[in-house]
Amino acid sequence: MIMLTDKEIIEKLVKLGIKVINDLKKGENPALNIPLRSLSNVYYDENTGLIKLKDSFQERYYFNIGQSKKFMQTILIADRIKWLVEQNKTLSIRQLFYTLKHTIPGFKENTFDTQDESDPIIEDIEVLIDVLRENLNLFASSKGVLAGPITIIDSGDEIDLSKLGSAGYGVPGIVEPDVVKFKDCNAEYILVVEKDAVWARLNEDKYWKKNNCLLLTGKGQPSRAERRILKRMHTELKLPVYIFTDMDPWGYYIYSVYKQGSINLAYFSEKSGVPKAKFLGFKMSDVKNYNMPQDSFIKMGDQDYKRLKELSKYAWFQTKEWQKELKELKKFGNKIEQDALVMKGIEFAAKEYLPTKIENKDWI
Amino acid sequence: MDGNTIAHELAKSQKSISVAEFFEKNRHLLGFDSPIKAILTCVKEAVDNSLDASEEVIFELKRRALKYYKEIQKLKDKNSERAKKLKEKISNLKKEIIHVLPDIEVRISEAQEEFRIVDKSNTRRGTISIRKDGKNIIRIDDKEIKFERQRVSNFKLKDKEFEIFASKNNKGEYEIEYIVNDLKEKFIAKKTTTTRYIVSVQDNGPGIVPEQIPKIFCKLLYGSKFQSLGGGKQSRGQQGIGISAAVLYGQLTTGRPAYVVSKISPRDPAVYYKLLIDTLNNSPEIIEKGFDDDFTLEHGTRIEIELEGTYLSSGEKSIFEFLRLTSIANPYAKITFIDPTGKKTIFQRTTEKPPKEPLKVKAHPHGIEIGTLQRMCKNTDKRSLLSFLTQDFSRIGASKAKEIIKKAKLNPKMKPSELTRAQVEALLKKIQSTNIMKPPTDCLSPIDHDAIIKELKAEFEPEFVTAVTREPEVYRGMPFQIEAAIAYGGNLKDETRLIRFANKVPLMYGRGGCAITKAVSDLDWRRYSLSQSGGRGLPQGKIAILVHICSVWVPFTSESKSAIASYPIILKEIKLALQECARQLNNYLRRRHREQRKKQRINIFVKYSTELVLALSRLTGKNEKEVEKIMKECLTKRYGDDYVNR
Repeated sequence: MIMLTDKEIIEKLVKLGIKVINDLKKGENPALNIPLRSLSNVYYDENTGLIKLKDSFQERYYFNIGQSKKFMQTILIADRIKWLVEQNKTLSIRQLFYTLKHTIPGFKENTFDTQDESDPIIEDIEVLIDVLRENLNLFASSKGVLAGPITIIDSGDEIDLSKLGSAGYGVPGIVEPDVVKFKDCNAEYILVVEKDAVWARLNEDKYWKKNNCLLLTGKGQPSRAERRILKRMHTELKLPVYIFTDMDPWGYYIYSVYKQGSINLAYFSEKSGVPKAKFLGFKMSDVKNYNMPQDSFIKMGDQDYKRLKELSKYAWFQTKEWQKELKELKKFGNKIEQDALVMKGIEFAAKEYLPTKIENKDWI
Repeated sequence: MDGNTIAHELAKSQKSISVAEFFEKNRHLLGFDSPIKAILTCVKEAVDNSLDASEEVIFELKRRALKYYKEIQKLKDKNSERAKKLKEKISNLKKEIIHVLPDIEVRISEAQEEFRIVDKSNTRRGTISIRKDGKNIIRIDDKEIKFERQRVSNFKLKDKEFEIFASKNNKGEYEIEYIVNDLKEKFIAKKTTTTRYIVSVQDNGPGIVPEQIPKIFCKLLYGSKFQSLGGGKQSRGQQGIGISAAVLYGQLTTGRPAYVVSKISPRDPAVYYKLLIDTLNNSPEIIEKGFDDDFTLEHGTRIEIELEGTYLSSGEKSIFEFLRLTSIANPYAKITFIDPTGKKTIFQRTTEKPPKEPLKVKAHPHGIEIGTLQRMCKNTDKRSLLSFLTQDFSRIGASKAKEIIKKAKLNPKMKPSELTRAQVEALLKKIQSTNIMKPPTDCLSPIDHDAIIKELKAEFEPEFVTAVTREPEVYRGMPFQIEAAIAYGGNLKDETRLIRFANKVPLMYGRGGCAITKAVSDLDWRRYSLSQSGGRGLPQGKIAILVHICSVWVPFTSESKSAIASYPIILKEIKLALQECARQLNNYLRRRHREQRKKQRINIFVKYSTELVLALSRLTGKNEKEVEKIMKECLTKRYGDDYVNR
């Protein structure tokens, strides 16, 4: 994606509206050509190691019962975004939803009922005009947390991330250079953990201090801000990235989102993907190597197997190592949460598991 | 034989019982098995008779008109004086027919007002019966005092032992002072619901010759309608039990005679009878006879029967409903109903077209059963098999008859009564395998689908109605014809109505065991855009289904004539008729659904257009009014009238 000026963004949005009016004038059915954001319209670019968007479109018509409302909603959001950019104001996607939600005059129906309706349309507009949400003055409330030997300038305030106690630095919704700048950093690598609880455990043990690294979590499936800041730290600070998740299909996928990007936001991969990220674990070989107790095993359910099957078909999981890992997991039939490491001792992860794995380059 | 066997002993207690006595013990067979049904059956029998009687006049007039018409056809000069005269006669007859179309008045009134006497402690002490005929009775404790007076608002009764003073207060109760042995007590008498009604049915039919009246009303199985198997004529009653059974029922429950008055022409006096039935001898017992000067019609008959019964003011089994349905089946009849409260309802005629006269027919050979054929062979007066076939059956000509006889390897000259059972069987087999024309339709008088549609429209104002009259068919040698109709929406309630008719008479009972119900239930209505749980039973929705079977001999399942027997061919015909109607309904419903969908679609586009217009105008900076105009023009261009007239 190209970086556009505000003026160019506004022009693109206005053009969208003009086209609709012209279609109406001709008595035609106005349509919006929205690039599809589904598995069928993404491909894995082996050269870059990223998931990218193909060029299939979905036509969204106004004179179509199933699409009419969505069409109206799309134009409503386009109009509101234009206003935001003009005013140079920033809104969260939830706030945007509230500025647009109202009853349609004369009907017992709302323009939007839930945020679930407006969020995907924002993504539609991103691909429609080829501009990232972050440039449209929209952000999502992020949940990620970061700690480590780094100083950040956030909206002009200097923050030392090694002095933020047990909570750490909350990653803001927009982490573009105009908001977040990196100052001093002594870290040697970045460790990303799937879960908040594991992050808190490691933070309490001052893992990042002892191992001189940055410690990040996206609290489960990461939102855009965590992925974006990871990418920036990785490229701008030239730090390797290690990812530590649960041993189950969901954990594997979270790793892949950090690394190659997600299907739904394939157009965002370039801005967020870290193709060189390594998967530390928890993985099948660890079960034996670290002699995990039987009690830590959780039986896989139908949903797990289904997701595992899907995963094994994704192009970006088609490496020998990953196919082996997935096959073994299927055979094993159990999952292990990263939290389970405490069964081996409360500081086991910080003092033994992670350092040895990194030292031995025991990753995928 | 010395007559000492057990059989002889038994023979002493074996005696014939009179028909009347038999029915006295088997009321249910005639439809008098419950108080609700009893009053309805009484009305039904009387109304059937009245409609039949009125039709007799119409048919006679039609026959006369036909005679004149034929005479005109024979004349060489169609404009001669004679022809003109005949034409005038015909047009007068036509006017007269309209004048004599059935005009029936049904009145149900309480035979008596009943009051319950209670004392101060609310203990029941007696009753008062104030009767329409003025023969009032008051009972207090163990005393029963009769007193005759019309219009009783207060009365005094005196005897050696007691005095009674009664006066009505403004609540309609009697306040009573009862003095006995110098002791004075005060009572209140409150009105209770009565169980005694007088059913009165009056028609403008031809009237009945006075001598015939007692027999017609008081002799069971008497009348012109009783027919032998193997042919006949379509009529409402079939056995001639009906009205006399109603008289008998009244007599059994109230002990009161039936009142019948009839007048046969403006010149003759109206003659009345008060009649009872001698149940042992099945013969009328005349209680009183005289002239009724209050009978104002030029001709016609009225019967009044007092009976015990329960009157329903509404519902599927009510008299109101019965009359309403009767008026649907007889669109040329005007029926006036006056209920016990005095409320008058008139079911107007929707047509002045007189009904078609059903002609007497001989048996149609198809579907006849072996027993029937055997009996016909035995009873016929024809001397040869050939003439038996050609003359006792319809639709068999000489060549057909010869063909059948030849195939059955019989001698055309042999006497029918001399056929052996095997020969009769062979004959029947060949008859059935031979192609024979369908029975003549002139023996059947359907309601006519156009008339049904008119009636259903008048009664329910449905949004859709369709009806079909099938071609006649044959079961057991009997011609029959099915008509069906479906009405949808409008005033119909959200509860499926099944309206059953047999020979223009509504069937109010026996729904479960009726071929019509079975045929309706067997159809998969879901195929016709209606809901039906499990694909069986009645369809659901604002729908009325009407089925009429008319036949020379309607196959009822019992003497109470409430349900049609399920002959396969009858079931098949009903289903075909229903399917035809259902297809029409389906087309309508689907068209309506499509139109609704179309409207819904346009409404969706219109609904979102206000928002869209506003957002577009803000987004592009174009004038809102201008964008609105563009939107409206686009909608008009795309959806035209559907948008403009939405």
